[in-house]
Amino acid sequence: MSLTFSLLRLLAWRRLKEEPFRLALTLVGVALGVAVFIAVKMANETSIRAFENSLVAISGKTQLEVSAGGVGVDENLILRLRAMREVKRAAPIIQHHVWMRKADGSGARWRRGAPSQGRAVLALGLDLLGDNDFRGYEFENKYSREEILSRIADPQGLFIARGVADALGVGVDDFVEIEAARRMRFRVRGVLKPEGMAKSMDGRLLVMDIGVAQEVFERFGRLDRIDLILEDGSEIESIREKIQRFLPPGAIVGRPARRGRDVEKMLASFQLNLTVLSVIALLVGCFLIYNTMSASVLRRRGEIATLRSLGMTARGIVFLYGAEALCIGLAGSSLGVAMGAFMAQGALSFISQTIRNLYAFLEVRHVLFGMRELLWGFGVGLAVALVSGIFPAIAASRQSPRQGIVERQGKVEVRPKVIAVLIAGALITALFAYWLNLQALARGTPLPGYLSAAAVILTAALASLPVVLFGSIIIRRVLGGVLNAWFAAHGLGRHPHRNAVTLSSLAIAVAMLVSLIIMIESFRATVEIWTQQTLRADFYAAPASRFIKGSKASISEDAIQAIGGVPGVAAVGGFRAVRLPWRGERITLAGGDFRVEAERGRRLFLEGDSKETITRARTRGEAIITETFSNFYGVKKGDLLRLPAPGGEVAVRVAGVYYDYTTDGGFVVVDRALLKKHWRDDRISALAIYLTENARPGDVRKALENVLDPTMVLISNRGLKKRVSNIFDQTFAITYALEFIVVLVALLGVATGLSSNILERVHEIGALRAMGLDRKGIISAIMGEAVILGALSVLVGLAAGVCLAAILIFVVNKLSFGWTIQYIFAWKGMAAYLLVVVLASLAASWLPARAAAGIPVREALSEE
Amino acid sequence: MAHPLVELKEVSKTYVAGDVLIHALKDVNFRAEQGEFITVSGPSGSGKSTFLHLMGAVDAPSSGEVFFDGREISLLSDEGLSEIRRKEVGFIHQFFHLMPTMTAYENVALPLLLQGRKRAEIKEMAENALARVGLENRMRSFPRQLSGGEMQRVAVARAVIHKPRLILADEPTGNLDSENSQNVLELVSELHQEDGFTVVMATHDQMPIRYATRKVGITDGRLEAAG
Repeated sequence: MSLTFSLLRLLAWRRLKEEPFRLALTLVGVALGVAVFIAVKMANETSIRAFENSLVAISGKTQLEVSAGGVGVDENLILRLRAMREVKRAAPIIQHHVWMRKADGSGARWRRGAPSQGRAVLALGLDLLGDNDFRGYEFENKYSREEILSRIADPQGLFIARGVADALGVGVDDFVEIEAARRMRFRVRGVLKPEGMAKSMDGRLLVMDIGVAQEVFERFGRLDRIDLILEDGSEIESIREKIQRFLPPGAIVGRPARRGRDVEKMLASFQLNLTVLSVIALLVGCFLIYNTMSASVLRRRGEIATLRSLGMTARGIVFLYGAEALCIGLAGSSLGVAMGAFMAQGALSFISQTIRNLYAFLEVRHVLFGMRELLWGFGVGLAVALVSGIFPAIAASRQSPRQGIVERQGKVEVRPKVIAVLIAGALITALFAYWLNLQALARGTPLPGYLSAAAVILTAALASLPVVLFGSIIIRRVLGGVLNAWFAAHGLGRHPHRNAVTLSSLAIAVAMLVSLIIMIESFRATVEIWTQQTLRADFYAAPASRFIKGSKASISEDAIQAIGGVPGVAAVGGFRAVRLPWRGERITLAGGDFRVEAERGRRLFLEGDSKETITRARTRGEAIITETFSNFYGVKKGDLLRLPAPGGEVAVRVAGVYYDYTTDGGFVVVDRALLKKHWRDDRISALAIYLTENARPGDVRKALENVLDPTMVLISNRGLKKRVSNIFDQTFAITYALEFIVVLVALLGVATGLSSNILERVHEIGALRAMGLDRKGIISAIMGEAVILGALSVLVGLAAGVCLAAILIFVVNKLSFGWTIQYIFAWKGMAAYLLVVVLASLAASWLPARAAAGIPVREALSEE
Repeated sequence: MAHPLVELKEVSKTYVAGDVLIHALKDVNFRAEQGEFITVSGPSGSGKSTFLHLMGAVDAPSSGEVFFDGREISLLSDEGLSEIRRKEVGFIHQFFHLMPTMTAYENVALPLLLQGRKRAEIKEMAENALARVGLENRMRSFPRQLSGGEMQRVAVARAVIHKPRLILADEPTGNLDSENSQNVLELVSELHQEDGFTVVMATHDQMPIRYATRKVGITDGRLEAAG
């Protein structure tokens, strides 16, 4: 071992020190790969942990909880539960998400994005006197017992956590407004110490008495949840079963941790997609180490031969080069971990924004960064270095001592058999990729789809060497008359192995870029077509808190009457969504005014006409479901759904399946009359407002604003479409950011690859200079090589990217999210991106080309 | 019965270069005894280097047997072959093959480092070896800072530092002017007489022949006794 360290210092380190540019590029490339991987991992884990921590903090000592989704449970149930001898304590909970702001008394309408909109907070309604056994909370200020009681008893009072107090700049006895079913004004009666439940969601929490909460959220006589503490020594599972039998239909009892698993499940596909992308960055970093080590081995053939002739064993050579790769990995990982910590903060901001947009309320500001993450980052970096360095190390050990002594310089030959094997391998891998997709679709699981994507990447990698060789030959034949082009192509073919590695890493990055562009643009176009065709109302209205994902905010259906009376309004359709437990999961049951929808709205059904299907569903008491719901649960048109309801199970037949891109979980939609009848819910979550033909939208808007509470958000058809588009852009922002880094790492590979080539061609460059080729000629030849490399990478990447996009669209997305996306190839945008990649290759070659041109002729010719 | 230090029996060696089969050595029989100074002469491409590589365990014969101190080395593993090179053989090449990133001292110390010797021992032996070849003042110089003659003296010091029994010198003067060639040959000869190792030196000029105790020639891969 000490021999390896001595040789590392004497040989590898001194060599690397002589080439700081190449070493720096390699380290930065590896570091970026590691950093992206760690950043995504930490951001994903932090967001999941934030949900879990909040869940644990809010659940406190709760052992079991009773709920019935969005419908809620009857408040009288708590008395019956308390009467059970196994139940020691039972506590009522109302849990909502609301906007909260410092009261300014302006009465201005809530407007998304406006500075005055306030902050989204988690609102908990608790039995403040009896809740101490469950959660416990303490005020920052010290109050006497009497004073605490008087503060709790204040019907216009609430308590906030430190996070909200800081965010809004409010303190004890200040007034705040919350945007619930209507705008309400409260006085802050205490600030909670940042511990226990008050730490959840980064302190974005308000607490009010249960009675006040029922009034604020208009949940009269109902509770969102009942938390239970059991008698000591109780066997939880058997009691759970006993309570479940005791509960009314639609209500379920379970452990609080189940909700954490629900969140993980909900985010799994989204987070997996990001992880896959981060692994690609790591993979490209892997290629970079391979490239550097291969170049090192090729260039040190003489040294290896001398070491071997002096008696170093083949195993010793493997140790030496493996250790060198490990050192690069160690340095790259150290840098990567440090960069990853910074990048994780940015990634967390992107990811939490997407989660807030698409999945659930999440407030988390700081990445959780511990020793485990540090070690994980190092471990991954070292593993990558070892995997990518071991093959060049083995290649070095296989070189016979004689080979290096006799053939110190020279062209690396590729045997025709190797080319044939690679081409055959690429074809077989491509066929295997196709078969994997068929398997994924047949089994309904995306995993073979991901493997298929990996197989496509492998195909591109296998094809790289033949592409380099044939590309070099073709260009030499076609442009043989142009000296610089000939020289460039010759340079490419002179070290086919290493150039193939450079090409494959850039091609993989390009393939990822192409596939993401196709996927995202296809998705965007599909969603745009969908919004154009289905969003037909002139205005949409919803309580402000509906803009917090996962919110259960609702208003009274009286709003339909009120709006219906506004001049210029032709029709109003109410929409209500509640969460229901179903088949061990939670689904969304929605109620729509089918009569209005059939007449004025339009949904895109997989088969059948919108008006006809919705009318049939209304008249027969049937349901329509989204495509995503259909794909997830395997429910088809004509199937019978048995849904839990307070009065017992309700069976509804599926009248049709329609396309929908609003959630990845999907909906079951019934006529609102059915919802009212069976689920006893007459609330409204959102409203679609249709105007008469001659109405002036501006005038109608003003009239509507007079009718609606200021907490209601009125959004025009165009505004809603714009919002959909904005959410779309926000969702894919991190994808583009990660992809940018992948391409950057690959371009670093181009720069290191070219600089390695140049170091090996010093004699050749010297000879050409001696024959009269000027510096410009050398620069243009080296840059020409980069252009050829970039163009060939783009060709291979484009072919692989088109296939990857098909896998993403037709297999992975379909099976992960359940969405049907039209495959759209955006030629113009694509061409621009690919041109940028070729130009970036050109830019990456600038420094190596200048270095080549700067080699003194005399030294180049005399150097041994 | 004492074994010859190196023995080749019916050794042939062929290479494939592109589509062409090259017969580098044909049915060579050869013995080198301890303490001999043998020159192998012949024109370029006659097979001299291949002959040396087979003796030095850096290459394997296509047919025939190569013995080192009575052991057939074509049967040895990489570890076994490496051990022979590490302990028993010293190479001197035409192009020196010094490690460009190592100083003269480090280059000379390298064989001892590979043997796992202790630092103090390495230091003493390397300084002595460099002093023996007259380079005690150039210990910290890198190869690029040395002249051709100096580089070859470093190579000689590296070849003898670990007291090998066999020195294989492949055209050691081929890259030197006549004065430096003379100096290097005298140095090798002196060391040979002092240390008693066997020298097999490939050459295509006449100068080294005067130091030889035995001369052989190679033409088209066939070994023949030289006058």
